[in-house]
Amino acid sequence: MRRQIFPPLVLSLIIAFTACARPLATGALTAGVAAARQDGWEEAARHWRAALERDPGSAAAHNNLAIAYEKLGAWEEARREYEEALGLAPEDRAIKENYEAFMARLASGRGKRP
Amino acid sequence: MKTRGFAVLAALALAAAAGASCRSSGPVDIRVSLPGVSPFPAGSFAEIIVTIFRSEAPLPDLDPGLELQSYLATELRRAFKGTVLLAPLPDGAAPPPSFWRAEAAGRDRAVFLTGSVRLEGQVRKALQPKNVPVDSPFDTSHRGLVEQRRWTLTVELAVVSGESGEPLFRKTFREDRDYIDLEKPAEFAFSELSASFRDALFPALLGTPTIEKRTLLRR
Repeated sequence: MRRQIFPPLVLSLIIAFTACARPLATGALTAGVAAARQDGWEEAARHWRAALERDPGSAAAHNNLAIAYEKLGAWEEARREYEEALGLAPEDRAIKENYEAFMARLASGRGKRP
Repeated sequence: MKTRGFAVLAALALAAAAGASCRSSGPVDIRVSLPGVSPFPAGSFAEIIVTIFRSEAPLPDLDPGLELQSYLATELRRAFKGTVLLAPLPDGAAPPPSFWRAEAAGRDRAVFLTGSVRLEGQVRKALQPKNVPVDSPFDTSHRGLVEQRRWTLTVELAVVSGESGEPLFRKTFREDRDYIDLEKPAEFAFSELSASFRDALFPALLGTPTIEKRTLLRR
């Protein structure tokens, strides 16, 4: 009987851990997203910095941190984080769209400086 | 048989959990209110000192330089979180940096709003050809004539750093408006034109917050 139980169990565990391929470090990412959705951007930024400490190559964490910096009015930091994110994931559509919107907004505000 | 059924159910439950986990890690579109982008870095000034503006074309019943100072200070107190102060007319058209540094001594990240203002009225006349009768038994000599008074407000504005005494921002703003009533008083025109000036100045000075779409990522 036990033999009959094991194959589907093993199969389902493989599905659970490989189909999604979700790294453990994304816990900080999702915690940050939850905080941002509650308008807690300072807290969100802390979570995303922690995510970057665990995984410096996380384009998602750089992208999210860039948005937090935008929200906090830190334009240079936002630009740096977006560029890091794009360097890590140049084909990511969401990051590209965020970056283009950010740059357009920056240009509309600063481009008029005499 | 029962055990086999349990195993199948367990497998399905785990697969469903994996699927749900994947869904919850997708991108999240949000709409976020972002602060305005101004030429000045955020937090670069905590106090705005508005001087009397130099009146380039004084009017008999209105001092545009004094009125503009009062109006800007009132509006800035509503829109700016920091301190807004008034200052007298600076000596000379372009005081040296040492003047501004001395005026701002002891202040915390102060900037000066200063410059000159000119309010001018001009009667403009035009003929409207479609309203001019060629031949008529009545007096139609003035029917095709349109007269308007155009008021123009020109403000040459400078934002001067209290720390360095150097200008951080310079811009000439020009607003005009036509009035059919030729007797419309200058105060009325000034009130409307200075509101337009404020609408042009404040986004440049303070930035305008906007709601933007951004996408947060969870993996």
